Amino acid sequence: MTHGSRRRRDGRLIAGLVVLVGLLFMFSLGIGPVWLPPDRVVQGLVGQGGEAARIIVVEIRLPRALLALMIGATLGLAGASLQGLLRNPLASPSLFGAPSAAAFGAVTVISLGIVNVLSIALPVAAIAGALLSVGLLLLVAGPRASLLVLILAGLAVSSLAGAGTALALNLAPNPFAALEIAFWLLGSLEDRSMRHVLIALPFMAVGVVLLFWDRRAFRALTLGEEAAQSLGFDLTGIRLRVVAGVAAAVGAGVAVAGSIGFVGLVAPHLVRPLVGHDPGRLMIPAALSGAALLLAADISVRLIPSTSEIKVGVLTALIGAPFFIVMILRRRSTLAGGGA
Amino acid sequence: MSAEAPVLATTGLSVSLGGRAILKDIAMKARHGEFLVVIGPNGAGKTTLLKALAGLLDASGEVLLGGRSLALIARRQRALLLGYLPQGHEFHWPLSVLDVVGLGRLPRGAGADLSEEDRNAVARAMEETGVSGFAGRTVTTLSGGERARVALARVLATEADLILADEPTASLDPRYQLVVLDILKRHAARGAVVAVLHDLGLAARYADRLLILDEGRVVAAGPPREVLTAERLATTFGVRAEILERDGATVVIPKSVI
Repeated sequence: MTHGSRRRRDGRLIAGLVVLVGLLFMFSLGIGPVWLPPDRVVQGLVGQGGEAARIIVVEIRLPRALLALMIGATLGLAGASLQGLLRNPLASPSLFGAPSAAAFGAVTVISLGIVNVLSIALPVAAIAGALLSVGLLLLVAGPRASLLVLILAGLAVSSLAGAGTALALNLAPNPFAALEIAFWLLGSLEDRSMRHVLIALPFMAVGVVLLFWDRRAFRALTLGEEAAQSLGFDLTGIRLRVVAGVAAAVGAGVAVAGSIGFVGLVAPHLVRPLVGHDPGRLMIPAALSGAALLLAADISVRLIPSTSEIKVGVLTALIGAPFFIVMILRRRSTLAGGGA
Repeated sequence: MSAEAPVLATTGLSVSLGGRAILKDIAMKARHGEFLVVIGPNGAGKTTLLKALAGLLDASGEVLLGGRSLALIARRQRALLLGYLPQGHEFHWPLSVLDVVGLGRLPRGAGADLSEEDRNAVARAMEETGVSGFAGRTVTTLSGGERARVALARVLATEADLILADEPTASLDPRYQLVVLDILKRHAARGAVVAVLHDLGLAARYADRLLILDEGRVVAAGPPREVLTAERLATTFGVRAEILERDGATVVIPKSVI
């Protein structure tokens, strides 16, 4: 094992993941009621394959693929950051109730009739919800929280957000409003426009910057909080940036696609062994792995034969939750101590 | 800065945690080339003192590092001047030993790839602590003695003159206790070391000076043979002890509880 080859090895991993994401992206543009081979997709993208191909590729499928890419990448990054901050591979935005709180924020402003679904106020409300949940969680659990305390606090926060959303559903004035609210709970990338992409993009960009900021600190945190502080890192600042970054990334995603869980848990886990478990080197691969996962999930929902399309948030939960259970089982011995 | 200026000094250092006064008006200093050992009964405030010296918690009073107020030294700069070895030697991710020791270079701007200077410092620290032989092993699979040395190597790799070590020998077998203290003693000769120890015998043998804390106050400070008296051990630790001089070293034998 030598030090010299790190950057090159990470570079190869990142290049491989970029190719994978690129292929999935092209496949996502090609798949649907009408299958378009890659050459037709490219023609559609540059506007040379006729009006029908252009509309299918650029207006119907491109926003969907872009959102899957963006949301998946930011969720992967948010998961990697939270895990780095808390030094625990089981941490993720979903565990903290961030997506349900963001959904609650979005549902509230919609059901109160304050904004329509394409307003910029929607991501703001969703981000506020996510910010509240992650902030509340870190506040309740404290800086030195054991995993058990974090999980219990996360459960409480997401139950509260869930209850709030259920209340909005309960009080929905008509079936249409109820359906609108139910959408936030399921999470889907169907029928999105470039407008959705543009609404989410600026918030996600801010989130990405905040989440990337502390990657060197995450490496130092391997040694614990005090050692990290003694190495010159400001823990208060790190916590604030991660909370704000997770809230911005998750909130923006939920605002345009509803609640999509478990990508933030699974994506970093899949690539962690490939970067020698280094929480700093993990960041970019985790983002790419998240993008690949969500693109693949969104392709799958279009391939699985069913009467109505399965929502992508339902699929990620169906796969992610058992994955989470397996992770817990494998770490049972460490978790049994209660400390972790 | 004159040669006699202490590497580290405090005046009126007080710390309260959760409304309780843990440290009260501490005045102490560590000189260049000195191995200062902090002893005291459980709950005396030893760990809190070390954290305050490292600037890890809010304290009133003043900590002077090389004659400059610690509060006015930027975090990054502080990390270059003092290395802090916390209790317990925790490693949260299964990194390789080489990677963990390399983390000591973070204050010098190191990334995942180390510069030649960084690599040399890491190699020296690993050589000094005898962990070079398992550089590629995963740190979470090591034994207690190996982990303690890896944690110490990480601090040495920082190349800070001053090392603050909190119970560096806890849970180590007799051989590794000596190994770790020998390393710290060598480092102290080049810079300075402040260490918290529980073993009075080892403290007496290795310390150039002892600082005895009790209920948040300094009750004695000086060379072991001056401060380790039977009366002191009785009042501070509540033990009857026999104190012998052997080959020029002070030997403490705790006999019974008072």
